[in-house]
Amino acid sequence: MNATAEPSASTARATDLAASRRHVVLRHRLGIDGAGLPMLAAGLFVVTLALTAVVSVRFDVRISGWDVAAQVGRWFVGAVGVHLTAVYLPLYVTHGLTRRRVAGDAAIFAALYALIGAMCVAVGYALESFVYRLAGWQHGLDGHLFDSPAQAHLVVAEYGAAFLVYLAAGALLDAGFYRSPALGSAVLVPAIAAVVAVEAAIGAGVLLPPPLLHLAGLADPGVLGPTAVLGTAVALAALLGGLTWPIVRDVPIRNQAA
Amino acid sequence: MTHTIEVRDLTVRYGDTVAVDGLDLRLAGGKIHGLLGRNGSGKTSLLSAIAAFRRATSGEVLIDGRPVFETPDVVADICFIRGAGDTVVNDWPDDKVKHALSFAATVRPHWDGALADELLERFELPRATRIGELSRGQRSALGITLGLASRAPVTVFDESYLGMDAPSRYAFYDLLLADVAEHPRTIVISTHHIEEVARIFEEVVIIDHGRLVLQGDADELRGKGATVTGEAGAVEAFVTGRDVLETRRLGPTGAATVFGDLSEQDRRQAKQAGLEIGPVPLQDLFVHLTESTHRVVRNGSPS
Repeated sequence: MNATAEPSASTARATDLAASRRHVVLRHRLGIDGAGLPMLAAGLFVVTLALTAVVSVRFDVRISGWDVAAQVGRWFVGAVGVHLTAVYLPLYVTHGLTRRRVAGDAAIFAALYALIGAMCVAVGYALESFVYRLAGWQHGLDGHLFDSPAQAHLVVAEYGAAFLVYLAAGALLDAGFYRSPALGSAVLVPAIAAVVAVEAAIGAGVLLPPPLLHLAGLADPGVLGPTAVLGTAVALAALLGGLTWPIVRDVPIRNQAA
Repeated sequence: MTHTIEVRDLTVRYGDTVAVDGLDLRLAGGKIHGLLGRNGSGKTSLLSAIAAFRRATSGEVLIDGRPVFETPDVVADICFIRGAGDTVVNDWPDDKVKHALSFAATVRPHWDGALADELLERFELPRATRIGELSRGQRSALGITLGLASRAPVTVFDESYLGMDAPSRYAFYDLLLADVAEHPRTIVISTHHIEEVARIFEEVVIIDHGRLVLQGDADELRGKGATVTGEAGAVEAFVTGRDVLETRRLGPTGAATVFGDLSEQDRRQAKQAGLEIGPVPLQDLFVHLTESTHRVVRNGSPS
């Protein structure tokens, strides 16, 4: 009896273990970064609103403060991408996960994180619009796929597209630099090109350095529709991911203390 | 869960530098193996390949016959603690001791939280302290906690006691022995504190310049050599024709360390000559073997 019972118990345990580890990276990152993002966005929103209120004492408010603050999100999301390959990938591999599994979960995480970020931005615009109406301020929005915060789907499409590409570019950049400075320098070209391309597609180019802003400004806002912008972003992110995978698939894990 | 590790013709290169040079090795499951080697001998590179932290340049590493690199079920069963261990150091704001344990509990399939708590208490590690604020010894104690509580079927410690005081190091050895007795698994310990740790080794592997110098049962190896002490002339006469690792002389007294079996007849002969026979400390054996070039000894027999 025991001889037959033991293997089945062992099999059941193995199945439980496999289930507990399914998408463990995705669940873990969403639990930390995904859950933390709305709180960070809320903090940024409050600070932005407070600064806008201070500015309103001396000047007329004519533009959306959140519109300016939300651009920081692009770079923040890019930094999360950097963290994804510089910190998280080695961390998970040293804790018994394969590079392939981490990369697969990281790709899904990137898409969901971009979506969560974009939704936070959309909620921010809507709340800000409400506050501006109460305060009698002008809620000016320029250079976007959307004209009004009420077009939440367009807000999500625009910021989702931007966040996805910035995150993928950050991941590629640090994968390169983690492997070697020369490779990191080499992948700067496709990473920057992808960022410029998505900004051009959106037609915003906000907060890009002047030369890139000029390049990105070649496209007029709203020339491409949301579907085309999202399609461009997904294609660019896939391209960046395709460049990142050969770099990380057998990357040696550096000693943390080194 | 006692996994056997097999290393076949393993080579690890860094550019022109060969860290591991065509090494063949079999580490039996369920034992505590000591991996000894001088600085730069290739220990960490070997262990990195065993733990799939690094892809081998050529050759392969198998655990229970399955390739290690990028095999999900196999790497899940390996815990490699390099120095103080890799953990959530840069994962701000989740970079406290409690976050390190929480992270390990999430990703380690065999994690034992109760053991982790016990170890933290034993090493007096505060859970709320940021990892960056831990002393070197405390950081090592955290690494050891992560390693032991992972209960990984293959657990590897590479110089994991650095900065720990003697009582903490001895606590580690005792805890390791007790836990492995209760939950058998394959342990590999790479260390420079040879004599201190030697008592817990069941098997010993010595590598030098990326190649195997010696592998064998720790007790058998200790019995494979002898230190002969007595009147210098008698010592010299006794060791003539034997594999002499080292000779020393102080006035009329001489001492020689020989490698190889001493028969009962040899021992009687030594006693009659007024010589004392003592065991060879593992550390001395290590020093002598790694000073000579590429002598390969398997199971205590030179080849």
